[in-house]
Amino acid sequence: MWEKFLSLIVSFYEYILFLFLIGISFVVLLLNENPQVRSLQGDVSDVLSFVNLPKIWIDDLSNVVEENAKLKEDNLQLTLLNIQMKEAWLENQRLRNDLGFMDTTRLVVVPAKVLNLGISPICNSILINIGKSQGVRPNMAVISTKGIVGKTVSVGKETTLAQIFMDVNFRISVRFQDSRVFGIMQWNPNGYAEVREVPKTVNIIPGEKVVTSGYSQIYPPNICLGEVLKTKSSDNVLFQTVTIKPSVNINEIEEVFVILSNSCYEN
Amino acid sequence: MLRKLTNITLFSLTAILIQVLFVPWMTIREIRPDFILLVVMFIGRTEGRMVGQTYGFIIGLLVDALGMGSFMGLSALIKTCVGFFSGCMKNQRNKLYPFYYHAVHVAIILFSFVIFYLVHYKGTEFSFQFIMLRFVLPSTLYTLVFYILLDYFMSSGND
Repeated sequence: MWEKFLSLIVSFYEYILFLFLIGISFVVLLLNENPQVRSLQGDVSDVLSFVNLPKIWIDDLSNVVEENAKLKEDNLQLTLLNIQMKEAWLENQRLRNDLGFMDTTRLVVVPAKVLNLGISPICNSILINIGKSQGVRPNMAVISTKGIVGKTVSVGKETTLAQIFMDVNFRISVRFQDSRVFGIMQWNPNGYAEVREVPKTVNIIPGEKVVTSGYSQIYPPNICLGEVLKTKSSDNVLFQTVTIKPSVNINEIEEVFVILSNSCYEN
Repeated sequence: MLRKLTNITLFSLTAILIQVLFVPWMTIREIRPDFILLVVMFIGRTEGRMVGQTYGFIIGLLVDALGMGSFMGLSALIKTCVGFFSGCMKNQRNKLYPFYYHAVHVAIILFSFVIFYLVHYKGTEFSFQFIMLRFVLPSTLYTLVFYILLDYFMSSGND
């Protein structure tokens, strides 16, 4: 009986093994949701994870160029965004200053944005985005938070061309704040403004502030123009020439104010 | 015996590496060839039912453990069957009419994919026809291409 059974097993061992393996596979498959089977799968997977190493390595290598290009693009986008944010921050700072200036000044001013710094090869005018519609007329003072910029010349409906202090034909009556002496300031093409014919007897020291005198129908008094850089005089003349560094850098201005009325000073 | 074991091991590692490294790049609309299935088939028909099914079971479990098959035990079940039925084809190449010989192999590949996809998509909204047309037949045809190439290069010495 047993011999017959054993010989049967030997004869059909391949089939018996097949059924056995199929049975084990079924059991594993049926226990698929069992946490222990899942845990076992995870453990074995960890041990055999080295098989995936070449794939990861090749994937990494093949992705380097694409990733590099993507990072470069991201870098460019972030740089542009950073510039935009910095611009917005600077504009915010300027506008905050302007807002403070508008709140504190007693002048009737209207803000304007600088559209361009003129079209001529030398910078002697600026174009601003306000005009007759906003009440602007020729010969109105144009100022910034740092000081005098110039005056309006040609006024359109929505834009105005303003002559700036860097124009050699520009003249303005000024006063030295400490020494209280007056003079006429004009632009010298060497890069600085000058006040000529200041009496030699007046002691003007570098760093002294220069402001508008108020002897003008255009410019209200005490608006800053700059500060004294140096004085120059000769032995055989009665006057000295004072070189002034303007407080306004034309190349940096983006917003200005047009003084519509300085009647408060007239009262 | 040791030499044979070494050969089988190297053959298996190569197949697993190919499956892991290159098959993802060969995927066409989620359809990919199964090189491990082909290895089990060729080992089965070369070494017989005993080695074929045992090898199929072991490498099937390995594949399941590696996560290449989503259901633990499914690949073991399929590869065991493939190994066994391929083993039945040992030394039959010259005895059987070539059409029947290759038809059996095609049937084995088709059977393995039918089982795999039916279990895989069990309980989903996909109909049997959809599974057959969308997954089973394309996978079978894709794997058959490589079966034909492998059979062409290996048939001269193995059977």
